[in-house]
This record gives sequence, C-alpha cells and structure tokens, in this order.
Amino acid sequence: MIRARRFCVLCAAVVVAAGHACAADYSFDPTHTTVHVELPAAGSLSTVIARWSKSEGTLAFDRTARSGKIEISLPAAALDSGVPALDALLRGPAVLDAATHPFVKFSGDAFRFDGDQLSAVAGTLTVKGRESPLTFSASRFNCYISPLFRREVCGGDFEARIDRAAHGLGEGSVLLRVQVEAIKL
Amino acid sequence: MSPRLRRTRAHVFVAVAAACVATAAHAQPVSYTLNPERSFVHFEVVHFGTSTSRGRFGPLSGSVVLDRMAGRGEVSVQVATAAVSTGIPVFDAVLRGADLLSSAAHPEAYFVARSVRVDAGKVAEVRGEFTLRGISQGLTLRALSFACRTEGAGRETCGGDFEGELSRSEFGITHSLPFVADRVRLRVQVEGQRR
Repeated sequence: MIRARRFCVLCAAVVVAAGHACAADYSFDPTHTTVHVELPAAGSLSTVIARWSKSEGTLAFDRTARSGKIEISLPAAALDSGVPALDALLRGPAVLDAATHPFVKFSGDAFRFDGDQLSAVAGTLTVKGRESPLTFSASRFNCYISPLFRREVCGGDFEARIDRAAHGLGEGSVLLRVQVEAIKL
Repeated sequence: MSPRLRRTRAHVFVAVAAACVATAAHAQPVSYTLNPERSFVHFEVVHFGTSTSRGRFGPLSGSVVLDRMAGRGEVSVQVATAAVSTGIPVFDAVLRGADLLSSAAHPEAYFVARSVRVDAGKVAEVRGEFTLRGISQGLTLRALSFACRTEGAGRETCGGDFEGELSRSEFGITHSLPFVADRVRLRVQVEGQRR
C-alpha cells in the first residue's frame, strides 16, 4: 500500500514536470548489480561460480520508445570465486589476463521487447581487447519506486552463454548471470 | 577448462593424496570428506520482483557416507553463517545481523540427511533437515549433476551440483518481506574425496 501510494505521488510529479517524456538515465545501484560467472563441470565434478560484485556502468531506458542502452565495465582483477588459487588462475594470463586487459566490458543498445516486456539486449562484449557480439536474454525487467532511494529504480536479470574459445578464454562455455538495478538520475 | 587449471587441480590432488595414508578398503559404505575448494552453497532471492540477489556460503565442511550399490547414504554438512559473502560488505553485515542470519547467536548452519536416493549409482536426491538460526526444517536437495572419478593412483572423488528451495520465514527471517521474496533458492556445488 505504502509503495503504491508513493508510486502514484511520484508518477503525478513526473507527469506534471516532464509531460510525456519517458526517456531517462540511470546509475547502477552497487548493492544490486552483480555478475556471476558459472564455469560448468569441465575438468571438475561441480560447477565453479565466480562473481563480480563491483562494476561501473549506466543504463538509459525509454519505455515509450522501447529503447535503451546499457554499459557495464567489470574490473578483471576483481573476479572472485572464494578460492584464492582459482582466482589467481582466472585473473591471470591463461584466462582474463587482468594485468594487460584490466576491464571486461559489455555495451548493449539493441533492446528487444516481447510486447511491453524487455526480452533481450544485444550488444558487444569486450574481453582481452577482443570485441564480439553477445545477446543477453532478459527476465523480470521492470521499474519501481524504491522506498529506500525514493526514486525510480529499473532493473532485471540477464543471462548469456559464452563460448570460451571464441574469446580466447580456454575451452568449454561460460554462463553469465547478471543482476542489474539502476537508480534514476 | 584450461590445461593449466587441469594441471593445478592435478597438483592439488596429488599433494592431498600423498599427504594421506591410502586405504585399500573396497567395502561399502564409503566415506568422503568435502573438499573445501570445491564445496559452496550459493543462495538466490528475488529483490522487489525485479532482480536476483546472490550470495555465497562456504567453504562447506562435513562428510558424506555413500553406499552407491545399496542406494543409501548419510550427509552431515555445516557452514559458518558469518562466512556469508555477497562481495558487498555492507550487505554482508546486514545479513549477519540478528534479524537475518543471527551469526553471533547462531554461528553455524547444518544440513543433516539420512535419506539419499541413488539412481543408477548416482546420487539423485538428498532429503534431510536444515538448521538455521537454531530452527530445523525439512530440506530436499535435487542433484543436477553427479559423478565420481579416480585420477591415476589417487583416491576417488565424487561431486556434483544440487539445488533446493526454502522459505526464509520458516526460519524466522522476515526482514524486508515482501519486498525481498520469502522463497530462497539454494544451489550447492560440492566435491568430496574418499577417506
């Protein structure tokens, strides 16, 4: 109820102030923006899960025009599996080569919709200085008024599978599972 | 998996195997000790119906006894609740608090199971009791993958991925309901070496 009331008040304010404009810029909420990397049981018996809990980036979203742009930059040296020896391997020259290529980046500006629901974001992944096309499937994407920030927050879950060999990252595949929430500027 | 990672794993395996006295026992049941570098549980919970927050507990410690021929087993696993790690320090501090994991009063969580379903020699499902904040509830973990192997003259290693679900309110964790969902998905990655 409280949430709904706040939403109505803010909606009214936005409509009055901005008329029909719906395009807006958002900045990542660092407590709800993470990238988990799942390395399936190739060479081991269980999946290895590593993550980035630090990222930088922006989201632009225009619900009316059904368009947007997302840019995310991940520090290669911050990939964390909870196992120091494995982290050293993942960050090292055999995989991400963080010393030479300090950031993994994704830039997506093809926002695809299924009806009103964002279904995918296509763009370019840059790993080890090599660019390649990548499409994330999107789920749950929506915007709400955060009672904590008292601002609109937009976000969702995104997934993409990467062929490691195509990116010079070794063998097998990797599943990227991305949580994004971004606060309206 | 890169050849280098395989080599690293092989080195670890050889080192551990060499450090222990090999037993020639072939009698079932067989006991396994969890490998702390390969035993974690990740949780997932949906935030504001919008995005999935994830975190990690571990390494898990404990043991598993399996009689794969007879289709029986026992699992006893514990984890330090203060070891929760989302990678976001402020979030971890909130999670350890009295309203959530209550780590000071309840430093460990346990999973104990005596019902292990084995299909064709592979663990398929483990049903047991999960204790969190001193509250015990039934928990079923389904195997998404399970395999055993022996490298060279080393000891057998078994492991796989499991998943289960719980309602955090059943453990008295009602913080931020309903904005943060009650349903928590658990994803367990586990490997154990034969003793």
